[in-house]
Amino acid sequence: MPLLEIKQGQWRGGVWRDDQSGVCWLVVAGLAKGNHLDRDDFYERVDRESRSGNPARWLPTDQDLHLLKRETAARIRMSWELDIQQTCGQALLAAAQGSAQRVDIMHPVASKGVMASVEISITEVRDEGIPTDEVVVEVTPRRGLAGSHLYWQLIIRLLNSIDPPEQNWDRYKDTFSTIGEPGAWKSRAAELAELTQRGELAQSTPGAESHYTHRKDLTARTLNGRAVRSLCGIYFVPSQDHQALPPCEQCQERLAEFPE
Amino acid sequence: MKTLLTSNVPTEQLDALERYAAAAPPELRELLLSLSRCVRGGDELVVVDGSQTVTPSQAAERLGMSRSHLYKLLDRGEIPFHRVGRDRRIRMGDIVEFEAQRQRDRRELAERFARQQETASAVDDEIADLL
Repeated sequence: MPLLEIKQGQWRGGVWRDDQSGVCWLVVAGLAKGNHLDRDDFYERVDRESRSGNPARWLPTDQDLHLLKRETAARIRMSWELDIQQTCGQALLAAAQGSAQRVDIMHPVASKGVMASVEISITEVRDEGIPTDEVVVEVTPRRGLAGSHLYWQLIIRLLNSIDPPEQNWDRYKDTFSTIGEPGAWKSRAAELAELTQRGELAQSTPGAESHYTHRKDLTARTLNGRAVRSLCGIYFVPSQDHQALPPCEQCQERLAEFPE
Repeated sequence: MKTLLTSNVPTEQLDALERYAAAAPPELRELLLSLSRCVRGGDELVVVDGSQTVTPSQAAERLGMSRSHLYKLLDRGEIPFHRVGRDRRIRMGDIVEFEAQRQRDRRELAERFARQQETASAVDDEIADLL
């Protein structure tokens, strides 16, 4: 069993290369001690094991291989999400300049092909009241992927990229929408480009106000992750300390209509 | 469309209705409270016939969305409509159905936002299985 040696200060390590996968495993490590005469010296131990022991027991176990697979999978997912974030930022910028964008999203395992197509469009809403720019995201998942974990990972990545506050989003089936001030989406596209450059993923933000909702089953809902509906019509899973948040005005107005 | 007179309901009865509503499940509570709000506010209560039709502008207002968003939904066939000359008309029943689906979908979205870690972990497992 050929081992490569690595050194760091007094530490020594034995690296075994799996020729099939090309993965290098650090299988044994120890301290270089007493001019290699000490019984605990790294070289002494490796030598002893090679002569009379079973160095094969140092090789990766099934559990090690499983962990490696999962770590690799997590890395693949992260880089897939960064790609989506980048694509999303570019599409948002183009949409803000007036042309709706349709992009294909690949499966994280590239050999699986396209997993969904996404259209991002921005409409300037100027017909009533305060002027806003509305973003509409329409997702068409490949057959069999609707409602899957992968579908939701894509949705959450798109929504977190475009508009982090969770409660801003409206949804009907595979269509998601949110509104912003005129010009907001162009600046968001610039923020996304910077985030992607730094290799960071946009995180969503929970609600910034405390809402009134039914007290019944509230704890169970927090535990089971089931959403409640507030008096003002927002859905959320109760998980924040509501006392640290300012109360929602609309909820308070509605609460005032309750009898004493 | 049927208009119900509400001015003759005594306040004590509305109090009782609201006390009952306060203990009801959220969807029903919302309905009962809107009913009570309506009556207290002295509004006439209008019961809509599902086959009654509205214009896209009226539908957008009822649904609290922009007209452009509503037109997109119509163009994609998400809400059925018919034409009267060049104008589009939508059945109230279809609007109610759309709104119910939208509420369910928004609830699911809130739950998915709360479960991002679990979703990512499940996706990692799926990818690992393909490696």
